[in-house]
Amino acid sequence: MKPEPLALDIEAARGASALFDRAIFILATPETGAERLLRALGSLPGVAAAPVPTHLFSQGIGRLLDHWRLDPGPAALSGLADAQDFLLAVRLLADAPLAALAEAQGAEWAVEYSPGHPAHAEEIAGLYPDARLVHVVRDGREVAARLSSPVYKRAPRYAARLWIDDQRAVSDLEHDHLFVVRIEDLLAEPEGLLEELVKALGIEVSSVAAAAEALGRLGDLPDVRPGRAGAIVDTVAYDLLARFDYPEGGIGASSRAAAWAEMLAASTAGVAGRLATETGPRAVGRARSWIAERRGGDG
Amino acid sequence: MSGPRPPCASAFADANVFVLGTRRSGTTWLAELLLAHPDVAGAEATEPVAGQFVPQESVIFGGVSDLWVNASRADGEGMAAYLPPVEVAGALRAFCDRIFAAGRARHGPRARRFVEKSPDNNKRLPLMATTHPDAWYVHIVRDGRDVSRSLASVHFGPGNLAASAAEWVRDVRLVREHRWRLSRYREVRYEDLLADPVGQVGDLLRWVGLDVDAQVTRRLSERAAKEVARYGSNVPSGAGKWRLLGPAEGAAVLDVAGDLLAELGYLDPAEGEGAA
Repeated sequence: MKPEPLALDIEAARGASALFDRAIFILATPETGAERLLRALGSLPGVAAAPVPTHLFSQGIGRLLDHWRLDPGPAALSGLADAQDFLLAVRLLADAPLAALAEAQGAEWAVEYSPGHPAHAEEIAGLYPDARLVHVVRDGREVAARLSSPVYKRAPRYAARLWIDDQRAVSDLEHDHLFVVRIEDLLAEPEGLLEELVKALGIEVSSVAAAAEALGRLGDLPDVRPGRAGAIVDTVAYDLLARFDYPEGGIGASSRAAAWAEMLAASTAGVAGRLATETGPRAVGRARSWIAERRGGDG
Repeated sequence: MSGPRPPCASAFADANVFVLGTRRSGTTWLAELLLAHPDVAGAEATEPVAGQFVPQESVIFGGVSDLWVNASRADGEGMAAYLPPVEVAGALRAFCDRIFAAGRARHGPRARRFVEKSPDNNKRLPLMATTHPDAWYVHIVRDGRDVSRSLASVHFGPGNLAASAAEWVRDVRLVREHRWRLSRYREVRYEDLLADPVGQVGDLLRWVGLDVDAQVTRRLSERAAKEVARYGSNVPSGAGKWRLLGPAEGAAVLDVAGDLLAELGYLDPAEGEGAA
């Protein structure tokens, strides 16, 4: 059974945290292009961008929170502190690196991106109810293809699963300040979208033109052929692609056949976990929607 | 009080007392005895079900150990990119202080010392020495044969005598090999504590800077008679219970722990040769 999410009382954070209302976490799967948004935001006056990932939640805070959640009862930290005391202490500990960054740069805001953080989105949301969370999305077929390329060497099914799990983890969040940005849109129209985002985040700047120009200079993301990993995303996570308005298509027959072969093999071997267990129902859903489309939407 | 200073301003300067030792070495008993002093606070042993005393162990340093690793990454990423080592230590210390402050408020708001014992701490001494250089570290060592016999018989033990003996060897060596990091370190033997609990703990209390008067002595005597953390065993507490082991069982323990037992003076030379 999934444990109850831990949620820090926002009023406790207000009085104690140096980063209250001033932290921005970018949540994105690797190869999404999140670093571009990080740099763009960091080029704004009053915003300090973390130059390297902190890995705070994927290597540190996550374990600490697990320690609380998985060992309830007197023979653990709850023998010393109640949940809110504990969460406030963890929040102030988590603040330390980003607060130091903001202070060193004389910045009001601190923004960070760590590639492993989408898996900890719920923990970040619980500990930072006041922070801004920016979910950066890129077409999952391209992300999965990049993650299964020789650079990352992930098996296609694991590359696909990472994108799927990350998007679901962030999409399922309940948080007052969660924003979704499609990287393709941001790169296509940097100034307009950046202006909109910065305003939504609450950052007060007179112009985003310089940041947008810097973003524009980076050009488009490299073209990627979806391949087998992209075909798995297309097959298994068509609902997610639709949620983020990515159109269907672009998967070759051979890639799709290879994807099915890999998913079936993974299912047989029992190594693909949720991906494998969801393959059947998702494939049925996919087939039904395909049939409905052919019938003119009456199915 | 002069001595090593914490890595940040701390309301717990000189206040933490950490009890170290292998599981089933008397760590809970020693912590209970230290709590006899009115100026010492800490989580008491608890009694959740059926008369079983289960020790409270925060495992707080195990909880933050991933952050310690994060701050020591060799790739230039992680906390170390933002904080120098002393500030990482300060942040971790401040976290511990907040948790211990909550514990002190719960268990003894006016106490000047705060006792924490988690056997997991045996593995965390490089971290603890950095965040808590000003703390008092008390290492309780018990005959490894008795520890192995006890540990092998409890449900949370490693399952057999040899593995239990290996755990004892690992933990005792870990603590002793890192004691150079700890400027306030004392070792006590379980057998000495058993023989004279009031005298031994009185010495420790004075060492950590507390007065020991007649009232404390009386409370110590009362607590010394109380048994804790027996996990259903009907064998009376004590030293030398390893003699209940059969010859093969005893040999299995000596095979793993013979060297350290001899090093610590628990074996006479003839026994050591027998083990080999």
